[in-house]
Amino acid sequence: MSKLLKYEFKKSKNVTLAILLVTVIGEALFVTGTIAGAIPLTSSGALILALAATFGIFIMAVLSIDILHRELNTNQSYMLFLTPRNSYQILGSKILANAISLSLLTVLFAVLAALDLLLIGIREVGMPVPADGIRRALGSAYLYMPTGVGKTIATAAAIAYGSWLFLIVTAYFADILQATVLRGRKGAGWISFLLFLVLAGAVVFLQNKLAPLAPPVAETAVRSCVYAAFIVVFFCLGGWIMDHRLSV
Amino acid sequence: MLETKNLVKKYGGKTALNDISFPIEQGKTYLLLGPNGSGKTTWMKTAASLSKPTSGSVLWNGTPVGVESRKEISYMPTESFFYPWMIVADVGDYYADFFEDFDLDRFRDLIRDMELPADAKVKSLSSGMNAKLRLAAAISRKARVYLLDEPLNGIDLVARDAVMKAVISVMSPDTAVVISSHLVEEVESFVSTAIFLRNGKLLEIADTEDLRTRTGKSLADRYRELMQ
Repeated sequence: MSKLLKYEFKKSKNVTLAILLVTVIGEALFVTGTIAGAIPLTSSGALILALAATFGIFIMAVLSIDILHRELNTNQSYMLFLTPRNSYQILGSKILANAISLSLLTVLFAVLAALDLLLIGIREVGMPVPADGIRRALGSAYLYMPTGVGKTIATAAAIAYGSWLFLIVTAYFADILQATVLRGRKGAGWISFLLFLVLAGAVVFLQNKLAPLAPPVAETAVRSCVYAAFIVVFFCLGGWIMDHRLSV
Repeated sequence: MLETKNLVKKYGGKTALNDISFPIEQGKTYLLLGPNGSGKTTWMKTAASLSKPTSGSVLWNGTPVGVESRKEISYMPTESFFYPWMIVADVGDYYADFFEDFDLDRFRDLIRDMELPADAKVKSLSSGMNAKLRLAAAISRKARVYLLDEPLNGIDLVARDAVMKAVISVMSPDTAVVISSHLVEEVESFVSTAIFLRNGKLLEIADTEDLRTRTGKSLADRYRELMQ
């Protein structure tokens, strides 16, 4: 599994480096602007960082779906299916690589955001009381933040993480159906895309029905469990279909 | 060791393999012969467990080919399949990572003998050089069965000797080699058994030595007779 994982990261190496490069540029502009008191530079840096965080994660996901599509539908499939690895290991390594990339990018941007806020605080009042500086830098926006904002952000991040990973696995599953049971049929690509939308929509519908039934404190847990359950279901079904139906 | 039993493979409405059965035994070298579309590549892909049979089976030591058989069957596909971001040396590293029987030193020797630059980008290789790379990767494994699909395709006349020398080097009493090739004369001298296919059907399995002594015919002669 570790070997498969290693090559999954190699396949997306160039795109990852490009995202990191853009992030470094954004961060450099932000830091330079903040230290020099040049607001346009700080704003540009912040904008680049926000775009890198949003689109970086999106691009990584689309790339991984495209890679799987190619590996199921072109001769590149031999690279995976000639090796003595079963379909569950192959699919599992792809899901794991995505989960790790998503986690690392989330942590990277969260750490950068925290450091940038700290920098703003230091810039405002100096080293001893950075929190005051942050409060002052955020100005009126800080006053409108509800109590327990950290918990709210963490909850939203957990659901976003689960839903994003769920969407990727659902897209993988649709890709696998296109390359196996729908192979050779007219409009297989469109049918699999529709299947993706229907499956994703159905799971979100189910989640919206189940979550309100739980106590408010457990709502996030229920939503996360629904995502986790369907990630496992689509992974098992996808692996089984690849093992039994996939001809490359 | 590798047994094909009543194998049928259909693609949509087209039958690529139609109820074929034959054994592959160790110590022998087989030549798969047939015109384009006769089912040679389909059989190899099924034996390499890349393609699933519609019915029937290919058995490796009694069980259907799959993850376990891939550990002992080395397949050289006829098409390029390496990741485009790879350089030649990466291919060796990839095989070494996934196949316990892969001999990296032998791979390095082979690519040197075949004049393949280790730092060349795979996507920049000509079709002949790519074929050499695929062959070097496949035969650098110490496999029990080698399935070589058109190993001479795209390889120039001068380089063919080096390629054939490399192929011959994997033949041993413990291994079976199956070669698919249109260049009958080039491989006839070291092939022990010929398997003739046409339109997905098995026409004949011939012992080449027996064919020569009994009828005085070469494989090429017999091929022309059967395919006409």
